[in-house]
Amino acid sequence: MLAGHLFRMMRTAKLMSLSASNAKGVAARAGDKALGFRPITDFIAEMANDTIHYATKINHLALTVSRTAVNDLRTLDGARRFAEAREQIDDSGQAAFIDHLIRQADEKRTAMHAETAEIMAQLNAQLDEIHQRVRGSTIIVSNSRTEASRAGEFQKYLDSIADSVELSARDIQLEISKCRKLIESLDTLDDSSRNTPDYRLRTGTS
Amino acid sequence: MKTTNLYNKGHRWVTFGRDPKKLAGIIDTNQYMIIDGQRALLMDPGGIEIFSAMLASVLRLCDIDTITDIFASHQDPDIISSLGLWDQTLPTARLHSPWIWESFLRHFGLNHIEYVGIPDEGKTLALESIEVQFIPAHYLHASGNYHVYDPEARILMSGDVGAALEADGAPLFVEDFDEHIEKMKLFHQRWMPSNRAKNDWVKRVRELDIDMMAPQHGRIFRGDDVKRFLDWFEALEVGSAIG
Repeated sequence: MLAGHLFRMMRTAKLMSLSASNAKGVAARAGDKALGFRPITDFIAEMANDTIHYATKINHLALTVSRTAVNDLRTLDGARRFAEAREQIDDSGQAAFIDHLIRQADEKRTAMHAETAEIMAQLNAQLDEIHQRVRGSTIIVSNSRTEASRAGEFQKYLDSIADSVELSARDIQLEISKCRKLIESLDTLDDSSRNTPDYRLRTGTS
Repeated sequence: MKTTNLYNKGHRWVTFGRDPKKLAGIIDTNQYMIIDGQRALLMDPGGIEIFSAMLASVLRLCDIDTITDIFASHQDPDIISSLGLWDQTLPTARLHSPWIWESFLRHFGLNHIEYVGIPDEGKTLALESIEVQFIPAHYLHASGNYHVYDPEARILMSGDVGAALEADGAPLFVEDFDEHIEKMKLFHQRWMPSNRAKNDWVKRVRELDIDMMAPQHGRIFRGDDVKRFLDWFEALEVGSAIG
């Protein structure tokens, strides 16, 4: 799901980048009338490129989290099945071996949880980076409209570019907020799996 | 899970199955183990759902370090989907399985156990005092498939060949071959794809000295029933889903 939001974010950022190229073209044709618009187009392009860069990094981190989550589930399932076998064993030596397997699984899971928490923090930091950059778009849009009003016959083109940037920024913010909600829900899941698992309660290995 | 001794003269053959606690809807399977001194070979250890019962059963018979080798006749889930769990349990063991399935079987989770691919022509495996043979049984039913023959115990572990579909809790041995045919017919006609592969296998297996033929589902054949099975199987047309 996170990948879907990131994909939409990147697609919007690419549109934003295209808008920046168009704006450059219009600004060039407008000459002195759109002199103040040129640095704005550079800023839009930079914002779009940064968004793509951070979304790509988030995608990579999200994949790592996903792989770790699958490994965690596999290990948890293993521990549960070891515990089921443990319940059927009377010999203390063999039971000790299975307890060792369960402890090993627990240690592996603890390490995976720590790794996941660290990646989640990185994920949030990358989302913050995108958020900060896109937040600046409000000022850019406002400046764009001011500069457009001075561009004479080119005003309508530059206004439409400002509209497009405004819309893209809003879409990206929306996707950021969806990503954050999703990450929060993953954090909650992770916390619940850290509680004493049923297999430990059954085997008394808590 | 029920544990039954099949042979115990110097080394031991054991079968596990007929688990009354098995989940409904899961095909019943026979698992086998040879214990030869301080070496044991676990054969077709089964699916993920029977892992706990299997682990408890094997630990009642031997120390975990004794299980040095695992054999998987082919890649089906009822044969070896428990691999990821055995990988955590027996990290220093070796898995002997058809070379063509290695990259497929790794999907079950193989991080520690060493995969030893069996070449198309088969090979032997020396345990402590005996040597078993991995006999090619390609296309019976999987495209890379082996059976295990122990010339000393004269037991052939025959994978899906000789399998029967019947109700849970069925007897472990074939008592009336003619009556048993109906329980095997559909399985062999549908699951076995090639008459040529079947006849080639029958020809090679006829040359082996077999007291017991032990399939992965259904009942074990003893004595003359082994020859009766080979005659019946040879005459059977397989690959029934085509036309």
